[in-house]
Amino acid sequence: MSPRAQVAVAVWLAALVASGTWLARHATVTTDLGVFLPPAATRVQEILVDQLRTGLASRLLLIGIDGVDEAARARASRELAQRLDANGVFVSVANGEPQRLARERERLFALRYALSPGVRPERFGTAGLRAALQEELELLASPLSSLSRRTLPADPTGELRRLAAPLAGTAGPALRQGVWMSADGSRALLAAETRAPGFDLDAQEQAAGLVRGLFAEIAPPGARLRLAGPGLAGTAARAAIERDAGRATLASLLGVILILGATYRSALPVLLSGLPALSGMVVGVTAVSLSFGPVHGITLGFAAILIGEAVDYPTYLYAHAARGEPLAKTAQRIGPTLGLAVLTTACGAIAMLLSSFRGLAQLGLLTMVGITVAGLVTWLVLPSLTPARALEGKLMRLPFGGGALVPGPRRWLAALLVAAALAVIAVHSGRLWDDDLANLSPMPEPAKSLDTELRAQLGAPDLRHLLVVAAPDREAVLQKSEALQPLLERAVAAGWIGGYDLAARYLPSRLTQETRRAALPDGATLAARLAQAQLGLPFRDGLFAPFLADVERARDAAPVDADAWRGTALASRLEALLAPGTEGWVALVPLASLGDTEALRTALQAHGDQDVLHVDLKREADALVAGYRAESLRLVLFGLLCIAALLAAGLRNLGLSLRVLAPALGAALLCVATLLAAGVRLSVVHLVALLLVIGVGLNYALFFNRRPAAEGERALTRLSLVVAGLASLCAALSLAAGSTPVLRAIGATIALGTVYAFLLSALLARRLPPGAV
Amino acid sequence: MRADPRWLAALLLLAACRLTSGAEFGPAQLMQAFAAVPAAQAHFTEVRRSDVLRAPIELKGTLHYQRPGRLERRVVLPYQQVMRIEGDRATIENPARGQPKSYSLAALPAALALVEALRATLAGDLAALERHYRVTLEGGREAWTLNLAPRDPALAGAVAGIRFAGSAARLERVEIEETTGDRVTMILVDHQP
Repeated sequence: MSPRAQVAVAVWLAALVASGTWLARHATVTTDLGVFLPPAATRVQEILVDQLRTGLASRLLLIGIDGVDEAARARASRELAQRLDANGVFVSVANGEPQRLARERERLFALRYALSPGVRPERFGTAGLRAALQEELELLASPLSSLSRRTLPADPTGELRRLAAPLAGTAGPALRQGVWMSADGSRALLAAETRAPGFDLDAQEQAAGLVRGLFAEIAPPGARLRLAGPGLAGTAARAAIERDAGRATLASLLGVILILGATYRSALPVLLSGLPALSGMVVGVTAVSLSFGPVHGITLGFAAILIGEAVDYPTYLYAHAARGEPLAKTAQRIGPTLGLAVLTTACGAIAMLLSSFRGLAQLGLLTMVGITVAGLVTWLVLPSLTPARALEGKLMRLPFGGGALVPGPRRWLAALLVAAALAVIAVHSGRLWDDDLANLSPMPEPAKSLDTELRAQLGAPDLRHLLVVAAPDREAVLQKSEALQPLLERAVAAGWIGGYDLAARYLPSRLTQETRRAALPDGATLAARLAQAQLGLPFRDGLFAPFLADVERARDAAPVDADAWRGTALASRLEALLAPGTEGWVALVPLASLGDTEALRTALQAHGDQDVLHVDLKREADALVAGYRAESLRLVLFGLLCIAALLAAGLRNLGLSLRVLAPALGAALLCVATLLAAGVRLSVVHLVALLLVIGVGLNYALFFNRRPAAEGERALTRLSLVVAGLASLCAALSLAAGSTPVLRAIGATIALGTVYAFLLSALLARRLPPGAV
Repeated sequence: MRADPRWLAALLLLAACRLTSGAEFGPAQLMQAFAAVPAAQAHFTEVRRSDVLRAPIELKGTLHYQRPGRLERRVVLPYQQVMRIEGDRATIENPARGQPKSYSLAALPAALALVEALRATLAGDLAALERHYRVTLEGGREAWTLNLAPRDPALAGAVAGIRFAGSAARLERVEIEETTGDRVTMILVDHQP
């Protein structure tokens, strides 16, 4: 080993040990979507991201119980709800049983004189009390007497009724046997809200596991559990990706080992072929961990795919070795070409580093560092580690006359193919991109439809439309919300919206609380007015003593604060509806089933508060995805410019640079055209895959256009390219065979790209006479 | 004294009739009779006795029913009030106060159980009735009493027991006992189709 090689091996080992030590101590992998969203977002986007990650909707677990008869289903629903309640994992569990909300009702009842908009001076005057009592009597003597009967002595003005109506939400599913059932009566329905936010996939998985476990304990034979929800979808998707990725890794590993084994006919080179890519991954992850902190799972996945290109590097080295040639010499010979192959990919990745999306920047850094390290290891370390004997038995040319399969230069055919691709893309130019966030979701189709079905049956809000109220402090934001309430009531009455929720319902502004307190008369006055109001009505004497006592207490009570709801489902609801933002406070007003957007917008304009915004989360999410995709595209194009410049500098020949660049770009275009023709729309995922296609395509073109040192080397180059191409194709096909949409999209794109890149490189290659490089 | 065979035959016939009609007249037969009635109305007098009241209150008004599930209860004395029930919605309106108030019965299980007792009986829907109550029938076609016991008192919440009485497809008396101890008696007269 030369001194230089010794240094190289020592540095490599040191880097691996250092990286491994760092990773073992500090590396954390997150699954938080946040890093794939832009950081410097608008307030609206901040809210969107928050809603996606931690919002009420993200924490909802929808539960259905199928099979068995109605009575058994209802029993199971009750028992399951009770056991889930007893567990600290869920904030609330609803299945239609009225006593489920007992704690919330109790709290509402205790605080009714601070919370109810019905508390006004005229309501507590003699005439107001008289009207209230009369109304109460009429209700009592109607079939709806249960609405009034029990609360009458303490609440003759009916404040609890006013407060409890929104608590129950819009009319849920129908009750059968006392619990929620689907309209056709075949499924008992429950909704559970997890304490953990939706993006915390581990906690979500645990929550779902808990439901399954408890259900198994109480389920009558034949009963089936149906689960859906955003958190569950996330965990299911993660599990599917892990399963698919694991399978694909195994399949491609086997395939690649077979291909390389058949080529080298020796185990050692096959094993060593993995070293550069592995080293690159380890050092790359360390670099990301050092500069960004936690590494995102998606970054890791994408990077593993991009760095997969590095598996080809040892192939170029080993396949090019002439019989008996020391590998160090081979490395020197192909060094410049390999160097360009590495640098072009790294250069494409640099562009991503500039992204404002942390996820993309992470991906760029990981790819750049990983590929560079892999290239260096191949060039400087592998020759020292591979004994010359190990390659003695390797193939020296493609077997079975396979060389004939590699087409000779035919420019017109390449031009024709690319022209056809451009035509296809032009035809589809109107529907190129898919920016629906839902379609990026890796959720399998059956799970998606179950989610939709349960959501419809439960009448669960989709939380798509929101009003956003902003103000410098909490009191101001609450006052603004209260000012909005008459408009919202009008919107409900007119049918513009089905309903709404409002933080000020549970936490009125101090000002409003003061006003309400001032509306309550002192004990003696109230007693006198009540006696007057009761004249001629049949209520028993002394019946309303609890009322008098409660009003007296309310006059002296401390103002209601957010703490008042601790331990109830309303605490988390309030948290979701009212939160401090980056600048001041923000209140969210979810709107249920928006029917007339125009009318609402007009009314809001007339309302004239600039700090009240209507937000369509779906549209914002799509805009976000479009922004992400647009930036990725910009960066990919910028990366291509960098690559072109690098090629021009490295090859010092403009014509040759174009010849190298053309197959890679042509392959990407052909890939896009094929996907579009197959009815696929492009997303960010495809862009990342295309980046790899371009990287691989450049490698093929660089080696096809390399001036061989001797005539015999052509066969070796062809061998290396076919082996590398087959290995890539094998890995890509393993991915494409999975069931996860994201991985399939990546696999299919890369498989197509590999074939096209290889074909175009061959068709456009220049047959240079042997000579010095 | 020799029995007149004609008398004997008539007696036997009568006994047979009684026997068969007694055997055949169960909740299902009563429901069948109600199911054949597309619409009905009657005047009612309703008396409620309750702990919260010094003296019972008495209401007078009319009750209207229309297949399959529309109920209208008009109170004219001592105040005016119209209550309409259709599907899941119950609406109460006092002409003097204007603005009707609307409730979803799905959110009010106790009220739903009560409304369903009356509505399902008038519609002749035994299945709907049995979803909420254990149903027993006493008497015969011309004078029957239908007893409804809530299947789950905790769920029914307010209703302890309901008793309907009438003859053929005509409801003449409603007695409701609530879990609070309140009792409601409704007498229906002047039936019209």
